[in-house]
Amino acid sequence: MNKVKAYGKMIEMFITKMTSPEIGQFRLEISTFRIILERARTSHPSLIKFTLTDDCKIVNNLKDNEGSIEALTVFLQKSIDFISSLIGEDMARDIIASSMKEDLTRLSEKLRGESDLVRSFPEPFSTLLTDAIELKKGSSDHEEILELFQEVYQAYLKDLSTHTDLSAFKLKLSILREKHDLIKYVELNKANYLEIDKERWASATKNEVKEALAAMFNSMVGLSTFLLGKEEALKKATRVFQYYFDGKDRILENYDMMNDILEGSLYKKISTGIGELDSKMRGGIPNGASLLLISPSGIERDLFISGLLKNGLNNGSSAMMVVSKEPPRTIRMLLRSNDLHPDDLEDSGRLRIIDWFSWRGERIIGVERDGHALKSSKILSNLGIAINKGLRELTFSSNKISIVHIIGPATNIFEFNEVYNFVQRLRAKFKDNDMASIFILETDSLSKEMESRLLEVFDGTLIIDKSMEDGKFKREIAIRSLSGIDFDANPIPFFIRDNLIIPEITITEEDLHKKGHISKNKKRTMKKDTRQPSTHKDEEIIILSTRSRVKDEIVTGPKIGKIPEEEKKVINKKRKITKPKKEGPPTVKPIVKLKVKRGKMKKKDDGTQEKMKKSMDSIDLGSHEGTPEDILKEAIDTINDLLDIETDLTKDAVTLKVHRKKIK
Amino acid sequence: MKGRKATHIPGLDELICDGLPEGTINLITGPAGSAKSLMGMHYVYNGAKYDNEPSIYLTLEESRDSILRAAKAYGMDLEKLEKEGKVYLVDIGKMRVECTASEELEWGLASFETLQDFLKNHISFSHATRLVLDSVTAVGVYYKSTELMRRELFKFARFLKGSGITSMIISEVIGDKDSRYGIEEFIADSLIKMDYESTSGEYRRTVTVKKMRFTKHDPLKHPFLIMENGIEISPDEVIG
Repeated sequence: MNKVKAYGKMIEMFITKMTSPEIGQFRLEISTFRIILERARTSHPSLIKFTLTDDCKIVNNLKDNEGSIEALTVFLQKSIDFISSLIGEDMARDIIASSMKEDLTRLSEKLRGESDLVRSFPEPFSTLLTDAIELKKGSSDHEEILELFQEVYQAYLKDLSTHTDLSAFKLKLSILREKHDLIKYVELNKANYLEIDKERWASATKNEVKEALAAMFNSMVGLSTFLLGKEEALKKATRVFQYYFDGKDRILENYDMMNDILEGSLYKKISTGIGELDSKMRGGIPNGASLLLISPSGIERDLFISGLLKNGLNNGSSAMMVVSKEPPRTIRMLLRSNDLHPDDLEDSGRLRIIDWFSWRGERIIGVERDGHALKSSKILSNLGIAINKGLRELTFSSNKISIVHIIGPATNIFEFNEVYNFVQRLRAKFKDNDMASIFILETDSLSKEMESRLLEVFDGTLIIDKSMEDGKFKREIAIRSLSGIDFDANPIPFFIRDNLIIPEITITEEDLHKKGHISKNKKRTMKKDTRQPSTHKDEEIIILSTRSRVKDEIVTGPKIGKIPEEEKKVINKKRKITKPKKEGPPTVKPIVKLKVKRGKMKKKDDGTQEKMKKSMDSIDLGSHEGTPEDILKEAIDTINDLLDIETDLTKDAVTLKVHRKKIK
Repeated sequence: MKGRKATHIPGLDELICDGLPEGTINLITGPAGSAKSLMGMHYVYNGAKYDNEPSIYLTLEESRDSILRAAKAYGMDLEKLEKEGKVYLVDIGKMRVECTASEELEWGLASFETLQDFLKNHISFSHATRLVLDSVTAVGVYYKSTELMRRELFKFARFLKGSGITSMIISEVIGDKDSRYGIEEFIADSLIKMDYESTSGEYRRTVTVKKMRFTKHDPLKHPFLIMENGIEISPDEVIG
């Protein structure tokens, strides 16, 4: 509806009410309004274009919209002033408010979004209409947030129902009812479906709704924390929230729900997929940060990227890959080999591949579409356009990741400055989109001077290093810089097993002396590797072993020295990591177990010694939370206590295992 | 947006604060093949379709059929909007040849005076708020001297401003010039230059809003593509 018409209509309604018999003793004649209009023309000549009919209709012959609104405002103001001079301002306001309540409510529908116009109306119309608009806005949004909440609550309960009886949640709701009036109109029915009497909620203020819903959310997560442990409960909540809140940020922001429900922190960092690296970065890659990954080409880099993507995509993030070394189909194959479903991800807008590879083999004009992938021609401005399009097509998610592999190839074609400017713009673009990004650069592909200039563009740098040592590959990943974060710069040595990056921590003898694990007079070294769970969360057993593999000597206990090859095989076999299970989402909780192997040597009649059958004891050390390193430290402390009590255990080789046990 | 005529061309409105200021004359210049006419078609089509504003497209160079076909190739069904009374696509040269026996119109030439006469009636009849004149170069051919042409163009510009219509005037240029006759940019409130350039063995299309009165604008050179739905400007990408 044209706003001039809407305004005119409001004044017509006003005159109709003021001249209606229902108004009682304060009733005015239409002729009075005509006199007001005539007098108003002296101060506002354009009102000459307006006439007032006997049936309270305003005829407007002024074609100018702005001018019409201005003139009508003068007329309305003069009319209100006249009524106020007769019966006083307060009474005039009350009469207008009570007689026009319904009309203003109806009008508020049409003037929604015209807040500037409404504010320019004379009082009391401005306030009355603003209130009516706010009321409408509030009630319709309650419905949206309540429906959203029902979906989330339902999905969360469904997820929990496989692990626990839901009667506790019913009980929790009944307790909450005593504190929040609105929750009285919420029921968890027999089918465990959450019923909300929305009509009862409609008249509540935004703040009341927010408080009641936040209380229900938090009690739900709180109760499941009690049942499953904090990490698991939050993990489940995050998964459900990220799925259902996708694209609903307007509603949540309107109620300022994000901070209340999600405690903010759930969305702030993106895991690299390597827990050890995350903890050195103090939680992962900050949203919106752009990092330069300097790495030699090879499996290390590919595994790091696929681990990062897998972790992110499995946790509801959306991702963009800008590729220059292989076509999109190869990327899709790589993702499939990581148990991801690129086709589904692309269909749902959670993955976009920008192809800056194909122009080498085919003629691409500007930017072309190939399914969901966007192919760009050689020039960087077209690549920029393709990236913009890809960004627009990505569905909303709290965490967004982009992997950009163009710097090296681009500097082979274009001037460094052009590439530098392009990367700088790209970084700004990702930052605007709150997207974490990893720009890949091959080691030694640029001169030191260029590399150092390029580093200025980024928020941080990660380095993957690979070298040969004693005929074996030595691999490390390290953070070289990370702005605004007190990161740990120590490199993380890692090895590759089952297509996973597995961080390895060497604990020196000195560390162990400090911890009191071995006494100073025992000349032994103990190497320990932590096989990190993050990239393969569905792995059932993570081994924190005192040795990465059995070498030619036993490192603890009395059997120092050479051990037979056969025994080595047996021990290594027992230490084999359990293969990841490919079923369902992770529902695991770390439980630390101490396994104690006992083996004794028996003296035979002929004087030789033979090995007796080994026995294996398993001591449950309970549940621990935190990074694997924290778990290991706690476990070592516990072992230390045990060693003090059962000193004879020192005579045996000790293997420490962290079991991730399925909760039944 | 209040006081604006949104072009609804992806990226362009972002460069000019949501649209062309109402009642202004906007010069679209560029060499042949730089998508000037396509921009004009978008302006007329999008205005009629998305803002329900009757719009006039006056063609002097291309035939009506050619414009209809070109628009259709990018998903713009001008004919349908014509039937709905929202778009008026007028081949002014052809119309003049059919309606008069004037000898100079043998070639479909038209003067600014002719255009003014036509528009005066047509604007009040159609209540059009948007106009595309494609192109001023074709009108210029009518005049034997540049001086005369300039004088008439001034008069025509005054008429357009008085009518309140928001117009796009297309002008074909050669080389780096901003206009064909060196005068169009002065009578216009804005100048949008479309171009293409060779880089790394490819042609790249560019657009620059060189001047725009009554509003802030982004004066940088941006690349644009012609995709299946026509022009797509990338405001985030800057050239140079």
